[in-house]
Amino acid sequence: MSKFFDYFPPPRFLEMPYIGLNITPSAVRFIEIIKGKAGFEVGSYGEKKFKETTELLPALEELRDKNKIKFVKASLPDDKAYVFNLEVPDASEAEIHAFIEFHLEENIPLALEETIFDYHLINPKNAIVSALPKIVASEYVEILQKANLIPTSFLIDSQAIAKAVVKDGDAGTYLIVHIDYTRTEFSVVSEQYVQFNSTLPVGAENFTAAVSKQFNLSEEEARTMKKEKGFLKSKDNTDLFFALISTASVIKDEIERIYSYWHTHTDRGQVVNREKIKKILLVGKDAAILGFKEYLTESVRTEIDIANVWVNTLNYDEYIPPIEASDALNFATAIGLALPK
Amino acid sequence: MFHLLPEKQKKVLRREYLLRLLFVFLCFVAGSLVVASVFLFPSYLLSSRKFGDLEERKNQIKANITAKTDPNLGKFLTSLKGNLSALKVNRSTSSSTAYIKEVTDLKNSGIKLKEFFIDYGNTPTKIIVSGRSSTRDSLTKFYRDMQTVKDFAKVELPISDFAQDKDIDFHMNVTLKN
Repeated sequence: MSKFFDYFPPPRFLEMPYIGLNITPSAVRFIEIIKGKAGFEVGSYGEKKFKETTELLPALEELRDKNKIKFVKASLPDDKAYVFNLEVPDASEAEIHAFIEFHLEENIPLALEETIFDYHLINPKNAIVSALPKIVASEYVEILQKANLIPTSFLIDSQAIAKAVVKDGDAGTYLIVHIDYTRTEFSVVSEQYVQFNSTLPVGAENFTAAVSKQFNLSEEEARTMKKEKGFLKSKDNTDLFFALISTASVIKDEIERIYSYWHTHTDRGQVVNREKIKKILLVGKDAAILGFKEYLTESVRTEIDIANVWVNTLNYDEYIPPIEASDALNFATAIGLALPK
Repeated sequence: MFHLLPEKQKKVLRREYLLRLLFVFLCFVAGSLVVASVFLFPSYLLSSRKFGDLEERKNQIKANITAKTDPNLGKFLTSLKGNLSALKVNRSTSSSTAYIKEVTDLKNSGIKLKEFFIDYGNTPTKIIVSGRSSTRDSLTKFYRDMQTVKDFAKVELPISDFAQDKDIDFHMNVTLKN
């Protein structure tokens, strides 16, 4: 059947062409992935930053008008969502759904009638359940509708990032650290699905603010300084290093906490036999600050790498994306959303 | 993959998809019609040309028929029909000849026939045979012979015709069978 559709693809109009839209408290980013000669290619893309949440709607409207967008796959914030693993009976889809409904309130602090959830079976006896308050989804639907955009699906941030940075078919376990402007999201991904996530209200802007304060610079100057010198350990750079380290250590501590939790956490007194975290993948523009990766490597016991956000999208030998590599790190969520199933 | 869409939004999407499906279907139908029209156009041209030719021929034939049809022909045919019917030998005319022949065949040498009067106005038809008999015996014989004819229902001879012995003028009334 798939071969048939390779030769006779359904009209693009019927596929409801969508873009991946990442909505954060400080910016909206979108990207369109289209089928090109060499596989997937980047269509339109863009980012709009804002300071107040009231600026979100105009930002969405601007993106819509500039890029003729109608359908979107949007991200929902990790801090509003719950992800948990549940043992399920080997039964029909409807029965598993009913089983999860029955056990939902045992796993999350939400009433069933106030919750939207979806699940994925990792194996016949284990499901990853993703849930969030109905009101959150409705708020996102409402704001998108106000901007004349139609959401075709929602995905939590961390799941979208995992979709972009963990190679298809790789069942390994990774800790993904996404440093956004105002927050940092941590998620443990195993067998392609987010199994655990947490958020810290510390992000790239905190690095900038620390530099700005230390050297009494404007935001823009502080950003440039951060980008050019970063965590490089040298006699000339000691002040900057210590200015950045206050924020970086918070992130490092959280990484250690999650690492330790993942490997030692017990479930009802039983040690859960989880696969070891193979690698830590860094996402977000500030993840690429000079020396940051090295700083983390010194204190964390596992391999750390900057994520390749295009790993499931394109091959550099065949196609060079129009977004700079460091900027693309900010688009990981949008790329994950824009990728087809 | 997770979807996490509110049920209401899922319905909106389903409706949107169905609308798009309908639109694609209508486009496909319209496209098929256009393609079919393009392929059928030569046939249409050919058949419309043929139709035109046939129409022309039909009109030609009609014109020919009209030209050949004289308005007086009808009147002529009606009058011809009347004449023919007048000339037509009907059964009664032919049979009157036969009756006369039968009567003349029956007459004997003493009988001289003068007149036949056949009255078709009455039903049954009546024939009056007038003549002169030389003798009473000849008349009697003739009268009896007449009565033997199958086609005659009744043969009447007034008794007064037997008053004389010779040279008797008689009038015989014959009534034919229906």
